[in-house]
Amino acid sequence: MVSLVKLRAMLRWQRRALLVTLLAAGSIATASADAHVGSSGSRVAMPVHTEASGDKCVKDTPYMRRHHMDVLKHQRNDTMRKGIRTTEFSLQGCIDCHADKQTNSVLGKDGFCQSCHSYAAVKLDCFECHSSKPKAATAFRSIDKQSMKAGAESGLAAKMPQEMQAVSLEPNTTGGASK
Amino acid sequence: MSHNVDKTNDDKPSDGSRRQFIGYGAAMAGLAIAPGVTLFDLAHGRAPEEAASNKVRWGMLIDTGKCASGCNDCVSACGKENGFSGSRETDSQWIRKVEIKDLRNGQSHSLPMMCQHCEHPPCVDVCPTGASFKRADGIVLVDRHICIGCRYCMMACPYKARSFVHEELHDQNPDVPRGKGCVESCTLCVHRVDKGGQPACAEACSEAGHNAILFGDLNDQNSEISKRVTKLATTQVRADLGLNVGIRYQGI
Repeated sequence: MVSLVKLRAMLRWQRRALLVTLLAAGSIATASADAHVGSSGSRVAMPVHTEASGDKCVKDTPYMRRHHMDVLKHQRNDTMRKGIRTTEFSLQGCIDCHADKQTNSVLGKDGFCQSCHSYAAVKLDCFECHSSKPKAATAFRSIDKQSMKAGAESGLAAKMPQEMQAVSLEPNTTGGASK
Repeated sequence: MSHNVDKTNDDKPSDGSRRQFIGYGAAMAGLAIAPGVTLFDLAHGRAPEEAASNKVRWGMLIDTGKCASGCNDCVSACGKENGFSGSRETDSQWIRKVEIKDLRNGQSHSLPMMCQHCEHPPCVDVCPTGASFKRADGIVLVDRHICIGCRYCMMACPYKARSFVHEELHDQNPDVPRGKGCVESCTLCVHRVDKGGQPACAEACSEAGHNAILFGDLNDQNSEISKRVTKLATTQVRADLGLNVGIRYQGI
């Protein structure tokens, strides 16, 4: 006859065995899922943050992570509707600083904007209309009063040949006959 | 540049260095613009944080007597500045040349036609989303962020000034965002005007020596355009519609 103590011990052993089996099965499943992703350790590619060319962002990183879309939208309405063209929160300012040095763009697999947006699965439609490349190449085109004044003081003329070269290299559309 | 000027100061009398300084300024403003035009450009620059004001009314005066038949300089300059070449069938057209002929006496004129930047724009009246709007300084624009591409404004415009972007675009001018699915038209090169410049068409016309397009502030009594509009007989195209357009023509 099996004593009550023995029965209890047997049940405990069975429970333990079940637990161990489940854990083992679980870890195998996780390992096989990881094998598909590769060495990154995550299901989606982590965003790539290439080094920005400027010293410091207009706001600190946590603020910009959470609010960049708000400041951009505010600036967009001011510029579009009122013609206010301050540079602090301009999209062009972001691009000038954050464009990848190799591709000269914020788009692409490793681009500053696109890599993070695809990680967060947020649609990025700024660049269907806006240029994803820095304005530096076209800076000479729109020299204004300020930069002329600055140029007179800080030697813009020395930089001029480079900028002109950039304009001529730029693969922009050329003028032609109208329809 | 400053050290260049200093160097000249040592070599030549002060008048020479001053001239050279002005020369550099003119060169930077656009290489081959006439000095008068450059000075005018600098005069109307606005601070970047300052909003467009309704004290200003931007406009153009087109002298059809100086506009040569077959000349396309303004049209190609517009395409180059704003990113369309006219080579594709669906390309936008912000400015076009129109030839008109009086059949009774054979007199003909050539003139550029574009958005007339009306004081009472029909495109703004009909826009269902508020994307089509008139800025305080009289420039009529499309806010692409909220344009749904319904093309109602294209039907409302008496001047056929607007185009729809049918295809995806690439390599836009960073100052002129344009994209598929929106209606667009002449912006009076608002990105240049805000920085104290003049529209690409007017600049190209004066650079080529035609001087048929004069850009300026219609509200400023001392501006060249106001003086000419007060003194000469100028025409508003379809004045019968009472839109009070910003683009005036002389000689038709």
